[in-house]
Amino acid sequence: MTKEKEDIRIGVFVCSCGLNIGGVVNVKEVAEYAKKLPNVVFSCVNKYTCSDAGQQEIKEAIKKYNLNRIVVASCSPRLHETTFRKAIQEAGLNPYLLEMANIREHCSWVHMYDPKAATEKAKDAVRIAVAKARLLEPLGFIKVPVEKKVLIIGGGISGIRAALDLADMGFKVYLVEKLPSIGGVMAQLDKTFPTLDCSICIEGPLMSDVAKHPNIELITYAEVEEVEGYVGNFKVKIRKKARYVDESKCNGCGLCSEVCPVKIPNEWDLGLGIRPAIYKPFPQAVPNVVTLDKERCIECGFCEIVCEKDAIVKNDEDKIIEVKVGAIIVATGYDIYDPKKNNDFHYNDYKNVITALELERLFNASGPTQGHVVRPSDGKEPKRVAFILCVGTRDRGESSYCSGGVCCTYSLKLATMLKEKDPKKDVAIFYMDIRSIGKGFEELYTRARKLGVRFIRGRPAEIYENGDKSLRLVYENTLEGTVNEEDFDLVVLSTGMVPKNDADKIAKMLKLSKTPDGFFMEKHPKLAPVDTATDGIFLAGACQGPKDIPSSIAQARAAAMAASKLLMAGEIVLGGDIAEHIYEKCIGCGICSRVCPFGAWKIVEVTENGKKKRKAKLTPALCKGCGTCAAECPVGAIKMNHFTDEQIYSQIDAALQEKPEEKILAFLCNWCSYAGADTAGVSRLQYPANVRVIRVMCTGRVSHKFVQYAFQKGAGMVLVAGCHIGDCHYISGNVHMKKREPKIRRWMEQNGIDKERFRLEWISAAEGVKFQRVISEMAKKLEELKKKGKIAISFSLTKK
Amino acid sequence: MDVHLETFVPLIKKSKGFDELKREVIDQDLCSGCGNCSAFCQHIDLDENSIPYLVGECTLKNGSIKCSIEGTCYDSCPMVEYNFKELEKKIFGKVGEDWIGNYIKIVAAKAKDERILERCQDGGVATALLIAALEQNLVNAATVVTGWDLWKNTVKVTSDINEIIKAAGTKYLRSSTPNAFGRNLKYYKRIAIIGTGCQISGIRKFMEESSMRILLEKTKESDVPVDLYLIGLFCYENFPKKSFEERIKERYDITLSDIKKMDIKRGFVYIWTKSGKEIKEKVAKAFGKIAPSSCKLCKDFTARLSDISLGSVGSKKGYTTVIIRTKKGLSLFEKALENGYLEVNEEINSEEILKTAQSKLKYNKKERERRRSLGLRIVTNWD
Repeated sequence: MTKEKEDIRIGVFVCSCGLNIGGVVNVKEVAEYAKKLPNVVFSCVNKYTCSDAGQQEIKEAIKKYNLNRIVVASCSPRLHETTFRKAIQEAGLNPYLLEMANIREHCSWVHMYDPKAATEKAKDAVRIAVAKARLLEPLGFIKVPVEKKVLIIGGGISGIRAALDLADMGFKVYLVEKLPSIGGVMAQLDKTFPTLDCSICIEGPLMSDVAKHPNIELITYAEVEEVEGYVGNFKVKIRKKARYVDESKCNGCGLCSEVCPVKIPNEWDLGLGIRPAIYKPFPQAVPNVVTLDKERCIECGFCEIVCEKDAIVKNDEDKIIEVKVGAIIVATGYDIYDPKKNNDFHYNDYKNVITALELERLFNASGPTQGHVVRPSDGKEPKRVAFILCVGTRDRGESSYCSGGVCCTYSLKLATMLKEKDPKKDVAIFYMDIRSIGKGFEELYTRARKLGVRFIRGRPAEIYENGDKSLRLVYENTLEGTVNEEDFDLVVLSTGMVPKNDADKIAKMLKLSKTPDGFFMEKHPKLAPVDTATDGIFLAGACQGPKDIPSSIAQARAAAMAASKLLMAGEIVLGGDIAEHIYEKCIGCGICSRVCPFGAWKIVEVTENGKKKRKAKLTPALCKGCGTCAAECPVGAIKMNHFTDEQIYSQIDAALQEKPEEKILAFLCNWCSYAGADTAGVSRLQYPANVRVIRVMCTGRVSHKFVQYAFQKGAGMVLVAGCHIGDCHYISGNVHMKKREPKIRRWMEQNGIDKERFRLEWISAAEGVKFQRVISEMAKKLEELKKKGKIAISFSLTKK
Repeated sequence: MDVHLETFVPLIKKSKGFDELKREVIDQDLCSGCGNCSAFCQHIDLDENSIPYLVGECTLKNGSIKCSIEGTCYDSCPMVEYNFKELEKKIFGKVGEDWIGNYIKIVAAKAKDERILERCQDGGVATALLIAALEQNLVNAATVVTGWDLWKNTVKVTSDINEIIKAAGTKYLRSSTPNAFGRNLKYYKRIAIIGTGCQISGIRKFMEESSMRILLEKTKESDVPVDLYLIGLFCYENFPKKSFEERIKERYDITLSDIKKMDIKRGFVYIWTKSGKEIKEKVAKAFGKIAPSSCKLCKDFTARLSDISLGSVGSKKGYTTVIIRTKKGLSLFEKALENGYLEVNEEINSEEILKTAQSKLKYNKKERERRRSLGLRIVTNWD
């Protein structure tokens, strides 16, 4: 139902695609058929509609026949929708006045041996497209200016790298770090693999570059508390924790730390070293200022006495800093798996069982032992050291993933360092597999072997503490098939990388999703590894998944590039195919705000005629057009542009115009299942031709009413197919579809519709085979039902 | 291999904290109420008898493993197990005689300022020395006890000469002088502290054997180095405020605010009230009951670890006995003398000092026996 009664003049362009379509489908017949459809004033066949010549034909026809709606029957819209939109735009039409009928991937390629059925299906596809085209509306674009500033959350090596890159490009960067100093885990390491160069020596200069860079505002000891807004225009609230030290006055001389009487196990040394209550976590800390640990401070005043800069602020308070940025890079990093939790290998009970990062701190010259590796039980040098790999990872329980070879490789590094320092040391690595794959990693492995590091394949089953606090490992050597016992002075647990403890908080705040391992999910595992489902938010480093330093740097630079691309444009153009609020109908129930995964809907209080009312409010720039809200709105107060209820009902009508009882009506989500059907076509996977497809952006859009309407119209079968749970392009649209299934099934039961006539399937873009199987099964089932004499009959229509 | 493991947490011995102080001193009825423990810790406050209690949580209960050496409170307490003679040897090069300790010289002196003489107990030397130290720019402030009433606010760290003059005269109640000094050190940095044996020895111990030693060393080169003048007072015993208040109410029907001046001399207590009443009674009879165990066990009559000690015993009426122990004490005294704050009388009755010290030792012996029979800890810090 268009707002104004305009004269709809549709042109239909049927592509032969060489012989790709024309070899199977009688394209002329389809074009002729199209002419008979209402509002179609022109139709023709093109050899290749997508070619320049084909596009030219469209443009000329638009002018000549005064066309105002265009239907292209050709390949998948996933391939050429943008091409044709651009073409009609060039001819003066709004790009949204285009509809495509997929008669290649969904037709000629999958019904190669049944030209008649293929032709019929192609006609139906055109009819469905024309039906929708009649109702297409011109839609606007939203232009959003972009704030040319970036927020980077996390000051580890990834955050540092991204900050420097963006700042060098001339963008203002706010780098927010939770701890008193930037540096991240890399600053805790002694050496880096595979070359064994000093970690802080290579990271330190970058850290001080950050501190000195005029375009970087370093906000340490601070946490991002709230993020509002959308791509190009994020409003960020940062809580800068009270440091009790004036950062502008403190010169980091450290006198206060020297006189402070209180000593606390230093978190930086994993509690193996000490720090005063007023401290710098490590000598190279950036910013080079101290922090007062108020909770442990006894207020002796010694620091105030020695501070010649008067930098100590006893009544300091948390401050809220508000900034506006155009893009956000999440570089929050990871945690090391904590063996305390499950008391792995009696880590809590036996003093000489330590973690690899603890060993790293012992190796470090500014660590608690000035670089000497000693046993915690007596401070003596261990002669026999065992590493146990895969602690907290590759476990069938909570963490089944592998930390990407990081633990294998750092164990090789530490073992090599032990051996090189003292060749007489016995160093053994207990492994399941050595997964050390990377540039120069094999060389490190060889170096360790040559030095005499023993590699024992097998995971120790038991660990006992001997009287002298040495440790006895009982293990099966799975290569030799022997069970052995061996004593070690020090046992090092090579613990894996786990998601940061506040990953949930960050995910919720930024509306990020997480992969099953708990790390942040990228937009696409291959094609968009630094993007997220939320535009303008990018991922860098180990927050996205375990990775080593070179990979983190690479991702950080990619994220910086992605962010800069966004900022350089100066403005963002957002499509018009998004939700629209029908204010008068809204009852303020709030369902839309609950189902929207992007926070585009909010419930606000308004005053109308002196009465307070709850109403929904849409931030268009946040809407991604999944349509879940429109499907869930109980009063029809949301119009999903370009996929309106009317458009979809008219498509259903068109699809089921002839012999509906023999048809399988399929609602396919654009990103997975429609693409899966395309894959079936590309792979020439043949399946029955009685399926009719309606494309939606997300299964979240498929209201139970659409399914009911299809059955009322007499559909033989209805399929709703979307992305697998967890893979939804819109985070959770498919989950909402899943929730509707029982409702649909109840309704079917009440109306005597065979439950086998409806299927909800998750079919990924790769699963062409699954699409083929599902359609074949459904067609077979339809046949069986027919044989049993069960025929779907259309019944009274209660549309809307 | 040369490994230093002082900062290696698994091998670090945790400091003793307030828990241990409470168990070893307070719960053993050994606390002298000197006020040292709360001087540098916000988690300790003093009750009206100057007995410490915990405010919030001891930092050692809150994740810290070290606080000074054995706790800032513990390190400054004169009543924990400790050998003061070793400390005396460290400071003076030798252990002094039990009754008087080490000294450079002993003299009798009196203040010259009439305003001091009007108010003072004996010769007004304490007040004169504080003023001299301030006016001659040796210190920025001095500790004073300003009155009998309003107990808690009576200890002040001040640079106001009038306030110092007003505070002249002995107060026989416990005063938390070290507490006030500690909490004001950051404002003044150079302070002259007046205190009894337990207070002075506690501060000295803290200065020599705790994190404060590092503080003193670190500030040596700065513009305003931390500098302390420890002025000791002869002390036989000292009373907790609350029990003293109850005792005078019960025995003489007077309150603290009624007292104009009090004196304890040669075994007798004298109280002059504002209304003109004069009380004289044997000390043992008057206040024996409320004398704290810590005072009875104390062997440090003359504050042996001070820079300079003052008292009435050993010199004639109107004069103060002055024991100059350190070079610092000597320079202060000489500055005061040269600039006309004091006059000197060479006449000293050292016999009297010895006798008083010895009588205190007798007291000590008796108290030790009593505590032994009760199974309580005995302080042997000056044995």
